[in-house]
Amino acid sequence: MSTATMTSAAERQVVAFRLANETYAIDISYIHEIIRMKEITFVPRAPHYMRGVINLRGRIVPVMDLSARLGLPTHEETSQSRIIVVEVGGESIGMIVDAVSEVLRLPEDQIEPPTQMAGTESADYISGLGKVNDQLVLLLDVEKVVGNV
Amino acid sequence: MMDTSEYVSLFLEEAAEQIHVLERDILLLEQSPSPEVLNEIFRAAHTLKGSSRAMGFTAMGELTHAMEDAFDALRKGEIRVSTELVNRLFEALDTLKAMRDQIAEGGSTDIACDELVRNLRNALSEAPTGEAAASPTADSQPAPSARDLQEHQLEAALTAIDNGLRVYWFTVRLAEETLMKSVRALMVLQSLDANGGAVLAAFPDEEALDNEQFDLSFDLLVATDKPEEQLRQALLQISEVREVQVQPWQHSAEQRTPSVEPVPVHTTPPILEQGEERPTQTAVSPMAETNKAGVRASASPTVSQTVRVDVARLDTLLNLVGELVIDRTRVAQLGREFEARFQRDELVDSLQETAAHIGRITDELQEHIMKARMLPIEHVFNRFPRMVRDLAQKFGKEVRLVMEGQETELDRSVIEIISDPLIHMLRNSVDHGIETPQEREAAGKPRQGTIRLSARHEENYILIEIEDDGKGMDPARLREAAVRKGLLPRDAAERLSDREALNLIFLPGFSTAKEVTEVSGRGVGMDIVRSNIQRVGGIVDVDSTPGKGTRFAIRLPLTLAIIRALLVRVAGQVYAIPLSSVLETLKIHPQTLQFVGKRPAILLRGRTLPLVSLQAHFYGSETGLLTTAQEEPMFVVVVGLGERQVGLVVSHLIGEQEIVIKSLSRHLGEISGVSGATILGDGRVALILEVADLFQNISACAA
Repeated sequence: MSTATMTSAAERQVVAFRLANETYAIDISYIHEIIRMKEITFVPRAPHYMRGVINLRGRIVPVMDLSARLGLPTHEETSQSRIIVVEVGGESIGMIVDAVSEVLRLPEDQIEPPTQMAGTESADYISGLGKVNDQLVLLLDVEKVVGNV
Repeated sequence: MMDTSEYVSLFLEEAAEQIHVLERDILLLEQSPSPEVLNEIFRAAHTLKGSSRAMGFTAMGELTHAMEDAFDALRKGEIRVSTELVNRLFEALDTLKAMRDQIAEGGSTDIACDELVRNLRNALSEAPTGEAAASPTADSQPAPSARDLQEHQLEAALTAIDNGLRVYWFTVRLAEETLMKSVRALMVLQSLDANGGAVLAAFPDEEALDNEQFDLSFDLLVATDKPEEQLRQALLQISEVREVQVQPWQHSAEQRTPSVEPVPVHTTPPILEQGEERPTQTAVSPMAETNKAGVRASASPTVSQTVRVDVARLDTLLNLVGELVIDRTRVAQLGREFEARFQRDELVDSLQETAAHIGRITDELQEHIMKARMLPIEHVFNRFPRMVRDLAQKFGKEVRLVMEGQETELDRSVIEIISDPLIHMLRNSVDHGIETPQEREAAGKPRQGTIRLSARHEENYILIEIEDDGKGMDPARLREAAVRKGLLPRDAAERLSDREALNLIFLPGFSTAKEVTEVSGRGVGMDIVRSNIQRVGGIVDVDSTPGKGTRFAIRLPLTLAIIRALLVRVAGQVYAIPLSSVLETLKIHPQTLQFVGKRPAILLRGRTLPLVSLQAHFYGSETGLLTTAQEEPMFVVVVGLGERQVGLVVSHLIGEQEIVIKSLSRHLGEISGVSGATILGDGRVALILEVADLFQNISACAA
């Protein structure tokens, strides 16, 4: 267990999740917690990709529909849907994803710049592309996703 | 050298106190240099000189020494107060403050004061000399308090006090050139009589007054139930009455105890009372010996029963109580659910009882912690006398600031936020409200304008009023200006009532000042004032009469954290409306709807009440539009903002509840009509309505 949490300098530890049939990942250092879907209070007149707010043990945390934020097609929530709560700049914000798959280790030398994605709407928010077991993983630039809000 | 570090914080605190005394008294000095004030101010400077030298802050010691010399010369009647001297003294005081702040930050100060000391000494040597007749402090007459009353006069004064009246010495000075002094004296007596003041004794006696057997001034012992300031003002209206000093009368038996508290002259008393009111300031200090003659000599030698608590700790406590309040509501709700499911069961009963007990304890805990966070508004008001004086001087105005209710307490977070708006409004009053002395005289008003700043509790909010007797605002000119600046189309402006026209000053980009001054009138003023006040859930209202003056009323909640709210349902979601703005709730039939243009309204007790569908406001104009075709009755929450009222149409009324206010994340942006969120007993989140926004929305539509 102790070795599993160790990350060598040449590796990045990320949480991988599914979104519109693609695998995305967020650097683990941003992640505060991952929770099941819960009742979201709709906040009128907020940006369209903000779904509302939730009560996270007494704190009011805004929740974003990540698909809508990235301009991807959105679909129904399932029992697999989760809210990933990230912390950026001291503030918490939740992101709805289709399913959380696993914690991955990405060797730095296998992460490429997202040039081949240029032109797609979500490209702005991708900081790199990784490959794990022949599977493509899109690394999300969390600061950008949250910061431009 | 001895290690003085542990004394530094005590020194700083004491210095802050003495600086405050100095600031307050220099102001008094300018208005009316009474012997009490002069003595007190001298002692304050003396104490500060002693303690700063003892701590090794020589520059500070030198500066206070120069100030002390000035006060000493004033005290002895060698020189008289001049504006130049007061300005120099304030300069010195500002430097003292800066030195103190620097010491607080870094333990030492390198601010030079040689030039200041030189300036001060120069001002001192150039100050007008105090020839006995010219200086009121060197008046040959004995202080009125030293007058011996005859038996029946004393009796009358004591009886008056027993009957709840207050007794004052009025010292009236006539102008030097007064021709018929006896007539003026008679007018003074008549004025007192007409304004509810009973003259108990006169020095010289009334016969002597009648025969003009007095120099220029005379003393009157007056019993009254009216504010002494009111009487004083009435006397000042009499021509050739140059000066009126008022001092509370004290039975000489009480007077023998060394009264070190200054006797309030002219200004309202509370500002001068703090020495004994605030136990936290009476901590035992190693500087006590240098403070023997100090202002706090009234403090008893017992160790004070207070502790200092970090503000952050109080904030944490309040947050925790907030959580508890939420859980209390939750537990109570669970209790009801259990009862519904298991009927009367011993365990359920026991749970219910415990829940009720927790509820009571939580209420009490909450109340006490909120009280612990309260500060008197004096913390904000303190600096205003000085500020108003400086501004008045800058603009060539004569302004008297009267403050009332400094002891009114409110939550420290509210205090922090209210400070800037008040500063701005006072500046406006001095700059735009009060006219120049020449203009005032031409308008038949006293040269000196008056700004009254008061605070008081009213139900569950605080009312702060700023009132001036200046030139007031003309609704017609405001309408004109709003149209000219393109803020409103002409027809909309003309539809506004006078009251609504006055409220135009709160619009962004509005300013009627003919020229931009350094202090105010940049057109970014009152809108920021209003948004700051609204940010803490307060409201601001204005009333004005051209030629007579302007009055601003600010209503603030007692606390920002926990409020009572009316819960309503809109489109399946719960919203909380702060109870402070709810006037009443109504159930109406859609058939009674009327339309003014396209805007829905109803007739309520003869007045047209505009309606806003919250569903339409929040969820777009297609949904929730109000039509007379609806079958179901509608629920309306009537909310008020100042004089204006509007009815909010909701789907259901749920009930009243105490809610804990939480802010919404900035990621959601500014949402018109929502000020924050709260957590309900069932754990769900409800949004809190911002009523003021909804009003703005209506004005925007109307325009």
